[in-house]
Parts: sequence; structure tokens; C-alpha cells
Amino acid sequence: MAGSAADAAALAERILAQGPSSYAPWLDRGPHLDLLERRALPELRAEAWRHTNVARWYEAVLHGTVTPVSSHRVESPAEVEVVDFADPRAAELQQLRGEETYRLSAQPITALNALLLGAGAAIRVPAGSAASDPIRIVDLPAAYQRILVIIEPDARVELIEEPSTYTHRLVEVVVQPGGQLVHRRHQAASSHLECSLVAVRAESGAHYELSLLSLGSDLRRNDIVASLAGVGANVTLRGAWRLDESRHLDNQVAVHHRVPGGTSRQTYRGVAADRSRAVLNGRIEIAPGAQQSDATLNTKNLLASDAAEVYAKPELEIYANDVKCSHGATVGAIDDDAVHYFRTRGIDEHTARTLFVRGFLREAIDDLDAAQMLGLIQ
Amino acid sequence: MPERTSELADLVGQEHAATGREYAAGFVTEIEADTLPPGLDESIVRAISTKKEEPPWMTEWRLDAYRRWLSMPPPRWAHVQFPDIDFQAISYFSAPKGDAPKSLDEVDPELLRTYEKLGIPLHERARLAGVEAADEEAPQVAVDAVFDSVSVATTFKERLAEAGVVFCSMSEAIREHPDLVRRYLGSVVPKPDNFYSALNSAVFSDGSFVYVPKGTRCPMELSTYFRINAENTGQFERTLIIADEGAYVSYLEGCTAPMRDDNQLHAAVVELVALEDAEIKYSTVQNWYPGDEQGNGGIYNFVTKRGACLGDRSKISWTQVETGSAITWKYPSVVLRGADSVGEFYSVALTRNFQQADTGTKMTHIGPRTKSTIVSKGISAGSSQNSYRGRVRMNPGARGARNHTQCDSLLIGDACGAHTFPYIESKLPSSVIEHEATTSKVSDEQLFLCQQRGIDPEKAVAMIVNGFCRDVFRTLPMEFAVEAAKLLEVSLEGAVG
Repeated sequence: MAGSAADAAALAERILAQGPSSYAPWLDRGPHLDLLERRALPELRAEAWRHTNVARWYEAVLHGTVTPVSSHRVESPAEVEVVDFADPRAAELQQLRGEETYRLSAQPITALNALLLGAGAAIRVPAGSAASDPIRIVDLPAAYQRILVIIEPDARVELIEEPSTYTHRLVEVVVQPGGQLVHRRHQAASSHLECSLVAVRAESGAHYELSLLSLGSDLRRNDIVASLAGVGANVTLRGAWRLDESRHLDNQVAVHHRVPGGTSRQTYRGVAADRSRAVLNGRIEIAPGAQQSDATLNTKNLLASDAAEVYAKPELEIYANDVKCSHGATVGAIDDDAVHYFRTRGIDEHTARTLFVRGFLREAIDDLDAAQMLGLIQ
Repeated sequence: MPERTSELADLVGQEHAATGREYAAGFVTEIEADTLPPGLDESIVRAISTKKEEPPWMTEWRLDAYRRWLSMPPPRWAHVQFPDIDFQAISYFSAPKGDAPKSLDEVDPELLRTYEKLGIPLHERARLAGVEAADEEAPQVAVDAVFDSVSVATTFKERLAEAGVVFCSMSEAIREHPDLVRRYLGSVVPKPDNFYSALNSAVFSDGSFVYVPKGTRCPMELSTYFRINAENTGQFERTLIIADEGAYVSYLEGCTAPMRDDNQLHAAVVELVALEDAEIKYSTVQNWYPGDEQGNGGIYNFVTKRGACLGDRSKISWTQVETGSAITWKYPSVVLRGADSVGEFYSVALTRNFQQADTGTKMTHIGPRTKSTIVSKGISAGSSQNSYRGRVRMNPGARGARNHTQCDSLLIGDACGAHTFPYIESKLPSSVIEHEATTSKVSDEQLFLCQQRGIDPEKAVAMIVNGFCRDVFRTLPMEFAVEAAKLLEVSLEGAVG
């Protein structure tokens, strides 16, 4: 791995030399260029990349391993406004997302997304609307993508990210007061190297719900940052994953309680088989003064083979005293007693194990059909 | 100028000591000291080695550590903040003047008074003269007293020698038991393990050495009492405890320092080695000077403690009660190598005013069916920051291994912080790791209930905190548990608004 530190520098140099993409010229790329100038890209073994080899992803960026689809497919109900991210209207919507959302998504590798950006959509759900059909992000025709979602006050909608390929995808979400978003991310097994960041700002009385179903990839990294920025905001994050072969999934989640009276719930279930590696870093942060915050995180992991690896790091960072916070994490194997119990009732071992895994993952799945279709459960 | 500041510090110290609250151990002992000038280079390392009349291999060992230290960066990952330390401004050796005392009778009476004042009687006469039955039954504790850089006295050496137990200062061990020292020193915490362990390996001055032979149950509790007295010095003690096959030893450690406005560095290394069927119980009550109410002064307690369960069915248990120090950076850990070996970590860490603690443990499971238990209780008050940081790792081969971790935080006041950073790493399906953490405050209902029964709020909080810490206190030897509970109570005074 010698010289891998140079990879970040080499990549920065190359991108600076070729200049930023011409897509969505209204996007202010100054700070991102500056970040590359300062050589601030994470290097191999940076703490935030302990379990994911960031240099391998840089390789993918350098060599453009993703062949993007040609179609731009975003399906949405009539009442929802959807524009191409390059459209000047997207710039207006971007203004609405607020400074904080920008800060949330200002992670070093997001700079690469901004500089290489090639496709995207900006979505506005009008105040008070309750769409009956979900918004579906089917395909975006570039390796670097951006999705901006503004849920106006008291609007309700469901957003589905269908399995697709990208090198980096940024999803920025603002749920304005009283709004509700159910966000489903479906990630199929793939051989790509991909990173994504979901940055969410939930304002007062807003509900944001994430449901992640994933099968891992050659390298897949999901960053999720949710900020409870208004009194009484509610964030629910659920994730279920099952990895086999030598797939990799690294989930880095941070929930920030910024103001009083927020509630957050996180539930994750993961199964790692064969030579796969599953990572969950789940941080709960309670800011000074964010009293009466109520936050929990629960993650359970099954190791289904001798060569699989699980890393879990639930973190609490608390600066207010009148709060209820807890987290729980377990790592273990498929319960032999439970399998035995199945066997005594005439169910063969394979079926017993399958049922056990299904039951285990079920605790973090609220849409069984989608999970089944994706192949997450049988 | 330095004289005046020290006078002032004395006055402040006395005043605080007189009020009985706050930090009672904050006085300075006026004693002539032999102190090396501040600064660190190879000549200082050699000078320390020469002062301790060490053999050449030891000098080389130190120099090797020093050279490695030069190229190491200080760790910055802990959740603490402090200005960079000027390692050239610290004096690396300070010892009371005069030849090393050969027996307790030769120990400077001023020193004996100091320890008396701290509640650590070094004299053995009560025990030696006393023949009453009651006295015989009372638990006896052998003490190694470390004053600044040297061990000034070790008690009950003869009684221990009868049982074959070696309990002496590290300096003496290097002279008298070189084979054991060479074999085990640095075997659990290698010199370049981290920045502070490398520094310690280069300049460590004294500390305790314990060897408990095969099949021996150490006849009494062993303890070391560390005292920093001199100004602008760092204390770098080194402790090595070896429990041979089937041996058992319980070891207690206590520490205090005078109150000063400057920060002082304490960077110790403790290594424990447990062979087959051996058990080591290591308890600490850490009460270094925590700094004043504004966060000035106090000890930087940057300590590396690790035990190796080398033998099958061996057991190492760490218990710590941390109430002192401006900054604590400390992770007593266990490497579970032997099959069926057991590691335990019980911790109470209380921070208040501007104290910062980043403490926890690492349990590394290597052998099959190894077990570890972690119970951590953090209490934050005032404007303090209190973090638990721990790692549980199941390596391939640790079949059927188990870990259970419980870490709870209690917050008192709205300006403090409580944090939890557990790292859970498993590469083994047949092992089980469980981790739970909660954060809460002293509830109004609990307080109300106590006050209804005529218990004033301060006492009530002390009671509630005591209950919160009970799981840890019950693992301490009895006298220590009482001491620890008292210490918490004193530390909590004024913390409840």
C-alpha cells in the first residue's frame, strides 16, 4: 500500500488539472476547488475510513469504472415539482435548503461530487400536499449524481431510490415544519465501488423516516447525517443488510439533536456471510441545550461464516443533562438452539437457517415485498 | 520568582486543606530534593539510569525507547483538549535527598509524616508489636510508597518473603531480579506501543515490582501509593506484576499531588502478567489534583495499563475509581491469550469543574472461550467532559468467546458532557459481544423521594450516585470501597445546584 497517501493527492491534482464539470454551471464550486487545493481529501486509514479502503474508491474515480445509463428517469406524482439539477430553477430550490444542510453535506469527498457532477434532480413537494404515489429515482445518467428534496410544510410523500449504479451520490433533504418523508433506499448487490451521502435537516414537528435495504457491493459506503433542527422533530432510521461473497458495506450514521424535544430511533440488523465485511458506525449527538431529547440506537449483527467481519461502533456524544439516550449493540452467530427447535419440527437445516435470518432481518424491515424483490430475504 | 509562586501555592493549598472540603491532599512537603534540570535528551536518559545504578542493558533499553519516542506523534484522538505539552520544560527526575533508606527506620520522618497525613501509615510497629487477636484478623496491607521519582519505603517485605512473594521497587528489581525483569518488562506494553509508553520506557524512575511464585496466594493485599510533590516534574512510574502458575495477588494503587496552578504530567506504564490459573486483581483509587474551579492546574494523567492473560484459565481484573486529574487518558486493558481466561474492567469515573476524562478499556480475545466483562459508570458534573472509550475485539481463534459491556452515564448539571465511544470488532461467528449504554440524569423523582424523607439534596445526590456505582464498588476490597464512596461524596460537594 506504499504511496497510497499519494492517491488522494494524485486524484486532487488530476481533477484540478482537468477543471470542474460544466454541468449545472450555477453551482458554486469555489469551496470544493479550494478543498482540493488544500489537499484535504481523506487519506488511507483516516479514522473515518478505518474499515473502508478509500484509496480503492479513489482508483475508481481516477479510472471512471462506472458506465452511466443514458436515460434520466425520475417518476413522480403530478403535484410534485421535479426539475433537472442543471435547470436554473434547481438553483432557486437549492437556496431553500438552508445553510445548515450545506454544512451537513460538506464532507471532503462531497467536493468530488460537486466537481465531477453530471446528473441530478431537484424535487419540491408543495405545502400541504399528500401524494398517493411515491417519487421514484430510477436512473440518473452520470457517475456523479445529486438529488435535492424539499418537503414544504405539512406535505407528505414517499421517495424511493431504486437500485442503480453511481460512483458518488449526494442526497440532500429538508423536511420543513410538519412535513413527512418516508425515504427508501434499495441497494442491490453489485461489483461497483460507490459512496453516497444522505444529509437531512428535519425542522419543527417534521418526520423523516429512512428505510435502507442493502446487499453490499465490491465497496459500498453510505454516509447518513440527520439533523433534528426544529423543536419536536422526529427521525427514524432503519437499516437491514445481508452480505455474502466478499462484499463490503460501510454505514456511517450521525444523528444530531440540535434543539430541545427531538426524538430519534435507529434500528439496524445486519448479516455477514462468506468473506464479507459489514460496518456500522452510529453516532448520536445531543447539542448543549437540546433538553428532553430522546434518542436510541439498536444494532444486532449475525456473523454467518468464519471469514466474515463485523465492526460496530455506536457512539453517544451528549452535552445536555435532561435527556434519554441509549444504545445497544450485539454481534453473534445464528442461534443453534433456535435452529434445533426448527429441526425438531421437521424443518430442514437450510430452511431453518433461512427462516432464522429472515426473522432476524425482519426487525428492521417495514416493506417485506421490497426486501424480497431485492433478494435481501427469501 | 519560582520561590514566590511555590509559597503562594502552599498558602492556597493550606487554605483549601483547612476548609476540609475540596482537595485535602493538596499540601506540599518541604523536603530537600535532588532534581535533574528540566529537559530531555540522551544525557538525561543516561543520567536517570546512572542515578539508579542500572546495568548497561537497562540503559540501552531506555535509549532505544527514547529514540523511538522521538519519531512518534502524540495521540490526538481522545475527546480531550489541552495545549501542547513542552516536554523540554519538564524535569524527569526528582528524589528526596540522601542515600536510599535501607529500612523504615532510616526513612526521613518528614516523609513518614506526609504519608501519615495522607492516611497511609508506613510504619509496621503496630503490626509487629501487636499480638491482640483482633489485630491478627485485621487485613494487612503491604505498601510501596513512591515519592516523586523514587520508592521511599516498602513495608512488610519480610513477611512477604517468607511466602516467597517479591514486592519491591522497580529499581531494586532491576538489580535483584534481572532475569524476570528482562523477560517481562515491555512484554505486555511494548516500548513503541504509544507516545506516552515510549516516553515512560525512556525515563521511568520507579514503581513497584511484584512476583508471586507458583501456587502461592499472596498473604496480604499489596499496595502502592504514588505522591507527586516537587514542582515542574513529571512522574513516570513503571509497575510490573507477575503471577506465576496458580498464584493470586490483589494490588491496590492510590495517588495524590499538591495543588498547583501548572499542569503536571504523570505518564505511567503498568504491566500485568498472569500465567496458567493465576489471578491478578488490580484496584486503583486515582485522586490526583484535579485543578481548581476555573480549570487551572491539575495533573495530566496519561497512563498505559495492560494485562496479559498468558496462561489458560488465568484472570485479570481491573477496578478503577477515577475522581482526580485535570485530564485522564487511560485504558486498562486485557489481552486474553490463554484458553478460558477472563478479563474484567470495572470503572467509576467522576469529573467536575473543568476536568476531562477519556477512559475505558480494550479487551482483545485471542484464546478460545475467553470471557470479558466491562462495567463503566461515568458521572459528569460542572463543565466537565467524561468519555468512555472501549474496544472489544474477537480475533479468529477466540471460539466461543463472550463479552458483555454495560456503560452508563449520569449527568449532573447542564454544562457538562457524557460520551460513549465503543469499538466492537468481530471476526468470529461463534463469539458473542453485547454492548449496552444508557445516559440519564439524577431524576427529580428520586431527589424528591429522598427529600421527602428528610435527606438534604446534597446527601441525596451522593446516595443516588453511590447506588449508581454499586456494581463497581462491590468489586473493590472493603476498605477501598469505603474510601472510594467517601471520595465520591467529597467530590460531589457543591456539584449540586
